[in-house]
Amino acid sequence: MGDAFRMERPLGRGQPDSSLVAALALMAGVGLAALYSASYGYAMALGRSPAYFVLRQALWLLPSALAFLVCAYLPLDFWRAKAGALMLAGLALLALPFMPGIGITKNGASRWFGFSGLSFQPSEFMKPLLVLYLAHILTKKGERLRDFTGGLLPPLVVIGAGTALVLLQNDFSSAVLVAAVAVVMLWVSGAPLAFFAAAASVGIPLAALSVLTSDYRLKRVIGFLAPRFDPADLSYQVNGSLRAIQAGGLWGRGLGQGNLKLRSIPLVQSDFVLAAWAEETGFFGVLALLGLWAFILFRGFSAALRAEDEFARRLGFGMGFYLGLQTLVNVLVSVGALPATGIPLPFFSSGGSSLLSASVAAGFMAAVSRLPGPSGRAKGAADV
Amino acid sequence: MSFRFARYYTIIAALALLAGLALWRYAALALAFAEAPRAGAQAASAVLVRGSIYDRNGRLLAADTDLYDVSGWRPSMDRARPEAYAAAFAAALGGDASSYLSLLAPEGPDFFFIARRVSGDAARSLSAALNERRLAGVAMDRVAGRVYPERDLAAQLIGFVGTENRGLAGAEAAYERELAADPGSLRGGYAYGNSVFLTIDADLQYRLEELCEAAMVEHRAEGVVMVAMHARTGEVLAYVSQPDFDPNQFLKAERDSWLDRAGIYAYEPGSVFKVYSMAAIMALGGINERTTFVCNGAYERVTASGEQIVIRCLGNHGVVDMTKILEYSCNSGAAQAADTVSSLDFYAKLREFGFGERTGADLAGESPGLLRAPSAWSARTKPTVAMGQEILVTAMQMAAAATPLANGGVLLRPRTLLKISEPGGAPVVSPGVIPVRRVLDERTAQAVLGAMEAAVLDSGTGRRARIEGLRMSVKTGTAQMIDPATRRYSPTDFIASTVALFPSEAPEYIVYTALIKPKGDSFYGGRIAAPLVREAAITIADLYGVERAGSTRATHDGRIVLPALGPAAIGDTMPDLIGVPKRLLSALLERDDITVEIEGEGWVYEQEPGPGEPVAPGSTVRLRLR
Repeated sequence: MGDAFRMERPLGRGQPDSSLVAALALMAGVGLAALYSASYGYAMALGRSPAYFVLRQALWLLPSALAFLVCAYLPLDFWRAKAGALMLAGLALLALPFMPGIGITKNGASRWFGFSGLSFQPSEFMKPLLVLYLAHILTKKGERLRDFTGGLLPPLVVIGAGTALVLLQNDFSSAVLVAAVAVVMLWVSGAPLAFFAAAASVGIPLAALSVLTSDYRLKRVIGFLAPRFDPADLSYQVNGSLRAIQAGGLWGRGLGQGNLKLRSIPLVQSDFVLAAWAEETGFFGVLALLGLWAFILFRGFSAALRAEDEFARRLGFGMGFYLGLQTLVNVLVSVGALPATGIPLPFFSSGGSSLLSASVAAGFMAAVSRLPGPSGRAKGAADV
Repeated sequence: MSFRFARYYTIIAALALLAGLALWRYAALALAFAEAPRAGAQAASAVLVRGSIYDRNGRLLAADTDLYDVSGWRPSMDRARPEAYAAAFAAALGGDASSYLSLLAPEGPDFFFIARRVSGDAARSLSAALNERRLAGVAMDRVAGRVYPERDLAAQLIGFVGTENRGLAGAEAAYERELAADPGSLRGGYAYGNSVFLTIDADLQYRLEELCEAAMVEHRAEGVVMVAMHARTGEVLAYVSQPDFDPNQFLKAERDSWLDRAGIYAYEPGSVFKVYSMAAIMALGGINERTTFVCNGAYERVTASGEQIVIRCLGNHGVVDMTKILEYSCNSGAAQAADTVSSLDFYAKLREFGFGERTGADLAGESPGLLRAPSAWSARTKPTVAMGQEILVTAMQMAAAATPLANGGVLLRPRTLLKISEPGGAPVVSPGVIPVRRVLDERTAQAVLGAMEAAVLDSGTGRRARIEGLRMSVKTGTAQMIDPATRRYSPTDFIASTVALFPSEAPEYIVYTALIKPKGDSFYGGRIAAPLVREAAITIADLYGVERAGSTRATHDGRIVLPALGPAAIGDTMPDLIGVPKRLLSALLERDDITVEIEGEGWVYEQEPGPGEPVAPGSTVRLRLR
């Protein structure tokens, strides 16, 4: 894969990897089209214009594009200098949903804050923020990571605070995702193996306890393990999703032609947009979608592993991992391989905060791709 | 490859592994080599219409319909006008506007249900009201629903369905395979299940349910069961289990009301059982019509091991034969009669009546009752069983065991299924009469039937069942019940029951009823169950036109049968052509060896020669029409 690939790389020109940017733009466009197709039926059933959900989403396009450009073009040193402050701000944002007056509780969770019709879900921003912060702090600590109290403990406190705040918002799946992103950042930054063993022995029982002590989470898990237990309430969305995938078959029914999504999957426009996509474009459509993601991640990871700077490498890799993991979790839920969670599909699911934070992550991937590679043969990149 | 980035590669590999898993699952589903959790691939977009359930006359008892889930999407709703929404909901869906108002509080979830499974009419009127007032943000989703138009009629027999329209109880569960639409039979996006016709007659069922419910209230009984059966076919015409419930809202009903007391509830029958024990003993040759015993108020016997057995009788009946045993319900006589046959023979004959095994009446669930093998019997068991204790039966068994008495000794399998038809109407299953086995010789059946007539005499326990002008064979019973707490017979819990066959000369109907744990003025079968059977018998006689001596009422089954008329033809004798229309007479003109004169238009009102008279070649036939 190496040589041809490196030749088209815009090395040293200070421009982002154009194929990465193009793929991301394509992803955002296709995502919007898929959201329209998935949601117009429900919008009309509500007595709204068919484009209701898409227009709501499109409102976020401009801020998201701006966020992408800002992240991609401001010098990485700037971000690195601000990482600690940004993280603190992020933690403060996480507290806002609990503030009376601007906190919003819906669908049984306090995950949002907002005013005048706009709402934000700060737990979405926590993921890219944590990647930025950890890339910075773990690089700074360097070899000191081997020392627990002096090296590992401070970032762990921040991770713990972020995860706990997300968990407090009754957002278990986002908390798991945040924790997974943090663990991967620690892993690639060279934290000692003993730490991961210790973390697993604490974290897994904690997570199990968290599931077992929540009626709602337990029902979700039961619905996953025993879909016949109560199809009307627990696995209804997932069963609808599986039927939509089956109905799509190899080639799908054609864009706009799906009929299951019209109403048989509640809230299809948010977390199950992939089911509508699968029904309309079939297996090949899903293959194409995952292929596009694979391409984006390939370009992003390549750029990260080419970077000389450790901070940039970890930053780019972490952002790619966050987008990739979130996509995979959503896909695995919609095929019934994971219990139903509230994890959106980046660039596809409706929800402004999700689009904005995915754009931020993509922006940092693009920023990392602007960096000049090492002179001579790149280490690692050829092997990606 | 260097190890410098080994940790990065492990993460990439993990992501790739997850992606592989996701793709594999996708491929399995999309390319249909994995089973979906429920519906097949074709079923995804198909409308599967579950078959309907009907009574014997085609009255609809259960059918699929479209219901609607009404949901709100809060961001789309007009926050300034919650009262307008609440008023529209209350007007279209019923209920209190204030309760809807609380649903509409602004801080609730984005997506919420306003009402589930409302009728199409309600959904349409709600839709119209919302459009008129320009209220957005309310969606109505079609969901498959099952309706039971007769509500609580035969609720336990019909049963109900759960989510995704799967039968959970009653006929809905018993015929799940037939009723469920086969996705493989899709035509134009629709697939239909088969129709199930039950043997019950909704008219009779309704009337008998009314009677039983009234009796349950009057006698403060825990429950009342009644089975009305056509004696010659084994078809169950009414299947009553009170208390009952409305299957449209079965979740709101007491779980106890779901219990099919006629098919599943097993109990000691008491003296009604003497009919079957006497018939069994007589068929075994232990007694005949003239065999007599002396009742001095108790049955006493000392077993070989020296155990003293005493069974008290209700009275001192003196010399009794089989007729008197049934008339007075004499315990002593029945016990002595049981001594004339061996335990093994007695047991085997009672098994032949169907006791201790399921009747096979196509019920979703049925109890076999309990008739222990003689090896488990004590010295008391045989005389006790002869009186209807130490044996557990169901109401269905008790009614079915009477069929040999009406059919010259042949037991029929009771049936609740009349037929199953394809959606187009072609029959799939129609079981017809199912003889099980010969239990009695014809003479025994006649003798027992005759003896049971004595019970309605003034001195008989069944006198309160008597109907003037209708010969009835009756037996009543009052059974003690075991108190599960003390494991002894309860002093307060009884089952009062009665069986009746009528008309006795050639029984067409069997009615069996039992009042469970009556706590009113009386708990005796002769006092409270016999009058209930009388009411039921009058209802049946009136509905089906059973002839009653001294009755001047003209009865009619309500159907007018028109014989299909073919073209008239004249053979060697003159047919009855009165009422034949002119168009059917043209065939007569083709015969050249007789002369046919036709006067007038319309229908034949006069003919010559008259019906049955010979018609010789060359003769003339005159027909006058008007």
